Amino acid sequence: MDIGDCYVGWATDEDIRTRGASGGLVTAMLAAALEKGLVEAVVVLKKLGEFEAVPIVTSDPEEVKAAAGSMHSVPIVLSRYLEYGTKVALPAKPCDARSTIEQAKRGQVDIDTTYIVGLNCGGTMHPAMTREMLETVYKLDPEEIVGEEIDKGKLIFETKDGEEHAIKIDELEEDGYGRRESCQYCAVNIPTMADIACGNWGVIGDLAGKGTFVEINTEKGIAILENAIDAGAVEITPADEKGKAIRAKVDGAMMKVAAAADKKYLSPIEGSHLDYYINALSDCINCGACKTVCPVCACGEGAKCTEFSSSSDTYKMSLFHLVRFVHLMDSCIGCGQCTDVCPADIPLTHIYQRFARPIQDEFEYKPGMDMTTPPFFGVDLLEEGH
Amino acid sequence: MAEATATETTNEEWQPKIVMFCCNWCSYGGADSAGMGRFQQPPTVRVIRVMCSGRMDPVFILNAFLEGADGVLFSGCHIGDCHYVNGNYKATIKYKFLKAMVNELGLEDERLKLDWISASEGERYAQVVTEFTEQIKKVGPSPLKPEGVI
Amino acid sequence: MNENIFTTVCPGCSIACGMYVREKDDGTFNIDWRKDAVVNAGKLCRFGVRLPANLKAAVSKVDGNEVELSDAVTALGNAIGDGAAFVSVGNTTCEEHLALMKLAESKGAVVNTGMGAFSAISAECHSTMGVGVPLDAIESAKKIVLFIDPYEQYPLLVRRILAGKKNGATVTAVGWKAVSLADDNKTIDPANYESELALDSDSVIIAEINPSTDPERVMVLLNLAKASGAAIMFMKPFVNAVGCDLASKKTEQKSLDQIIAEINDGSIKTLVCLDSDLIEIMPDETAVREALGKLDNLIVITSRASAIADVANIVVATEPFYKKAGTVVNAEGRAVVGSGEGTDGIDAIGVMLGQPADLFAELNSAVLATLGIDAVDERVIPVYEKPEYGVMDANPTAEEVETALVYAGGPFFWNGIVDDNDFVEMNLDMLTANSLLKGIPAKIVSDKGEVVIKYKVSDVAPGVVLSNMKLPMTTGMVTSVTVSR
Repeated sequence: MDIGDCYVGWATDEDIRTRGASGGLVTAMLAAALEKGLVEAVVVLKKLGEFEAVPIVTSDPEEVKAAAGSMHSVPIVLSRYLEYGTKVALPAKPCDARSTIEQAKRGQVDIDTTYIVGLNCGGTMHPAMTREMLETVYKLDPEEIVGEEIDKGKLIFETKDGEEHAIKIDELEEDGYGRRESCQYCAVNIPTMADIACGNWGVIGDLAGKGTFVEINTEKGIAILENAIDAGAVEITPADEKGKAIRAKVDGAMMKVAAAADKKYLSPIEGSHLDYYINALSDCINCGACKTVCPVCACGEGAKCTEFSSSSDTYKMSLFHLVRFVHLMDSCIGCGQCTDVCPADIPLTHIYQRFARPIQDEFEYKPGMDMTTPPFFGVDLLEEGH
Repeated sequence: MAEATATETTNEEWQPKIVMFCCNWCSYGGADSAGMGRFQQPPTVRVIRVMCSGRMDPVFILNAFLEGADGVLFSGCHIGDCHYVNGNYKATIKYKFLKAMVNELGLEDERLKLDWISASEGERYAQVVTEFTEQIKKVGPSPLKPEGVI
Repeated sequence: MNENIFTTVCPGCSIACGMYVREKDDGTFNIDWRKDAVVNAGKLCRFGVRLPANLKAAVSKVDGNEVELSDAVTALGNAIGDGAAFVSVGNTTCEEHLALMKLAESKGAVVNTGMGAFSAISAECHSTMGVGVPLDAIESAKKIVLFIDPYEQYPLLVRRILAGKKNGATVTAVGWKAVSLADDNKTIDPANYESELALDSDSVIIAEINPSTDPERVMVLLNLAKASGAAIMFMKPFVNAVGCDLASKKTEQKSLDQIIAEINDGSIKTLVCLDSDLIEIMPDETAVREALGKLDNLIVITSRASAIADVANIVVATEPFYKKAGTVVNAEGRAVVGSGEGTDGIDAIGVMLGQPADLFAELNSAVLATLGIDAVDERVIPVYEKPEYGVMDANPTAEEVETALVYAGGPFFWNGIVDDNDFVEMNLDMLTANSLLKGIPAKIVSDKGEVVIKYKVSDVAPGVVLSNMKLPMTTGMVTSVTVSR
C-alpha cells in the first residue's frame, strides 16, 4: 500500500455495513483502531436525536459503532475536542481536518498521534433551519423523520412510514433553506489534507452504495487502513480508473457550485464598508462565543482579542472584533461555527471570510491544507535572504 | 490621547491627529535629527517609540484608530539595516495584512503608512511627516473617531 | 478524560436556554452549544458561555465548619421549628420548590418567591404576569415595545427582536438607555403610555418583574396591555421563576423587603433560603447582611457557592443545577427537563417530611398536573388559562432625584458576579457637567459611601448613572448620588 493509492472498501461486520453510510468502512476502521490499540480514543458524534448529536471522546468501540451513519444536521467541528498527547482518531469533514491541522501548527494538537479519517462533505445544515424547512417546505413533522441523505443534488428525508421525500438542494437554497451559507461557498469537498480521504463518490457498479472510496494521503493513512484490514474489520479492492474519474468529476461539479455561491454571497459590499461593518456588529453582546467555539483559535483565555478589549470601551467598533479580523485573515477556514453560535445572529463567518479571502489569495495560501506555517508569522526569513 | 470633553470650535484649519510609531534605533533617531537640524514639520504627530518596527502589533494600530487617530504612520530602519536582523521585514508582512484589513474595513487607504527612516535622515523624517499630514488633511477626520474626541 | 455530558438549561435567566454541560471526573466542567434546543437554537449569552468560570460548587457547612451532606441535613432537621420563613425565588426545579412548599406547609408557613408584585396585585392577573407569550410571537409581532434593555438584561431576546424587525416590526424602547436595535427610543410618562405607544393586538410588550419591581409599574403595563389588546410578556431574572410562581400560593406571600423588615422587628427568627441569595438579589447589600445577622438560624439550601452561604448557620449543599432532576418552566411557559438525575435537595427536605417513598415521582406528577400535561415536551408549550382582569388604579412612584445610580440588572447582576460589568454608564453631557476626564475613573458618592469606578459613555437618559454590577453604596434599585472626578 502506498501514498496516493485508491481503493474501495467496506466493513466485514454485517451490522456496521447496514447502519453506517456506504458500507460502513469509516466506522469499522475507527473501531478497529481502538480495538487493536492503534489509538487510545476516538472522537465521534453521539446521536441524541434525529437532528441532535454531541461530540464524545471515547475508548469504547461499541460507542464508535453506535455513532455510525452521517448526520447532515449536526454542524459541529470536532477538532476542539482533541487533547494533546492522546493517540486519537477522528472522522473528519474537510473543516474538521483543516482545523485539526491549524491547531497542530499552533502546538495544540500533536499531528503525529492524531489520525484524521477524512470524509467527503457537500455541506451541513443547522438543525433549527432543518426543522423549519421540514415544516414549511417539505410539509413534514420533524419528529416523523428517521433518516436523511443527499443524493444527485437532492436532499432526501425518510419518514417513519418508509416514504422518501426529495427536493432539489438548489431550489431549497434559492428560498434561503438548505445548507449553511459557509458550506455553500466552501470549495473543499474532498479532505485531501486528511490522512485518508473517504467518501461515496467514485464507487460504481455492483459496489455503488455498498462501498466507500478511499484515497491514502499519508503514512498514518496506510497505518489505520492496514490496521483495520489486519483486524479483519475491513475488506478492500483497488479502485478502478473510471471510479477515480467520476470522483474527480463530482468534486469539480461541487467546486463550480461553490464558486457560484461565492459570487452570490461574497461579492463586494456596495456602499460604505465601514457602515456595513459597524452596523453588522452593533448588536454584539460581547458573549465571546465566536472565539470560544473557533476551531482555529489557539489563544485560550488570555488572548489579545479579549485582554485588550472590554465592554466598557467607548469605541465605534469593538477592538475584540478588529483583532479577530486580523487574526483570522490567515487562518479562517470558513467552518461557520461562529455564525452558528452567535446570539445576535451576526454573520461572522461571512465577515471573517471577507477579510481573509483577499490576503489568502495574495499569499496563495489556504489554511489547514498542510503543515506549512501561515505567512503572517512563519515566513522563512533566512530562506528569503534576510 | 484626546480628552473626551467637547471644546469650542475655532475657525483655524483642522489639524489631524497622527500617531507615529518609531523604532528605537533608526526612526526615533531620525526624529531627533529632524529636531536638531531644525527642519520644519507640522505639529500633528504624536510619536510612540517601540524597540523595533517588528514589534508593531496590529492591536496598536487598530487601537490608535479606535481612540481617534486620523492617521497612523509607522517606520523603522531601512531593509537590511535592522538592529534585530529582520524585524523590519516582519513589519512589512504585518503591514500587508493591515493594509488589506484597513481597505476591507472601509478606512481610506491613505490613513496607514509604513516608511523607512534612518537615524541620520532628519530631513527625510520631516518630509515624511509633512507629506503624510497633507495626505490626511485631504481625506479629513477619521470616521472611526469616537464621539466627543477631538 | 472521562466526561459526563448533561443536557440542561442555562441558569442565567427565565429564557432557559438549552445547553450541554460536559463534566470531567474532577468535577470541573465546560459548556457546549446545543444547536437543536428550541428556545435558543444553541446560542448562549456571555453568562452561559462563562458559566464554568463563575459557577462554583457549594460546600455543606454547619456553624462555619465543613461537614458531610448527611450531617448538614440532620442539623437542618433540628433547626427548623415552627415560625420559620421560607424563600425560593426560582433558581431551582419545580420539584425542589414544591418539596420546600410541603415542608413549609407542615410548619404552617408558605414559601415566598419574593416577587412582591405578585402578592400586591390581584390573583386574576397572576397568569398574565407569570406566563408570557411564545418567543416566536416576538418574531411575528407588528410592533414590539421594550421596557427592558435586551442587550444587558435578556441577551437572547436580541435575536428574536431582530427577527421581528426583519419581518417588518417596529421596535420602540422605553428605558434608561437607548438600545441600538430600537427604531425609536423614548422616555414616556407612564400616564401617556397608551396615547404615545398606540398599540394594538399585533403588538408585544416586553417588560420585567424582579423582586424589586414596583407593583404599581406592573399594574400600569397590565392596564396598557388590556386597553390595547397587546400581548405582554414579563421576563424574570431567575431561570425557573415562572415555574415556582405557578406552583406557589402567591397571595399569601411576602416581598423580600417585608421579610427583611420582619427579621428586623424580630418576628422572623429562622429563615430558610432555597437557592436564593438575598445578599446578591437585594440592592442594599449592607442592610441585608445586617438583618441576616439578627436571625437565630439562617439555613441555606444551595446548589452553588454564593455570598449568603458564607454567613449561614447551616448550608446544605446540593448538586449543581445542571445535575438536578426535575422540571423548569421558562418565561414562555415552556416546560423543559434536563438529563440530570440528582435529587439531593428533595432528599434533604424529604428527611424532614418523614422520608416518603418516591417523593420525586410524587412531586413530578404534581408539577405535571399544575401544567396540565402528561409529559414534558420542550417543543410544545402547555396551554395556560389567562383570565380577564379589570383595569387597576396605578400610581407608580416617580424617582425624584437629580442624579440617580440605576441598576440595569442582567444575569451577572442577579448572581452577584463581577465579570466584564465593572463600570458605570452615563451620557456625554454628564461627563462634561461633572468634569470627568478620559481614562480617569469617576467617583460616585451616595449617603452611604462612595466608589471609584470606570465609566463608559453611552446614550443613557440625562441624570442617570447606569450600573450592571452591585455597588456597595446603594440603597435601592435607584440611588441618589453625586458624580465627580
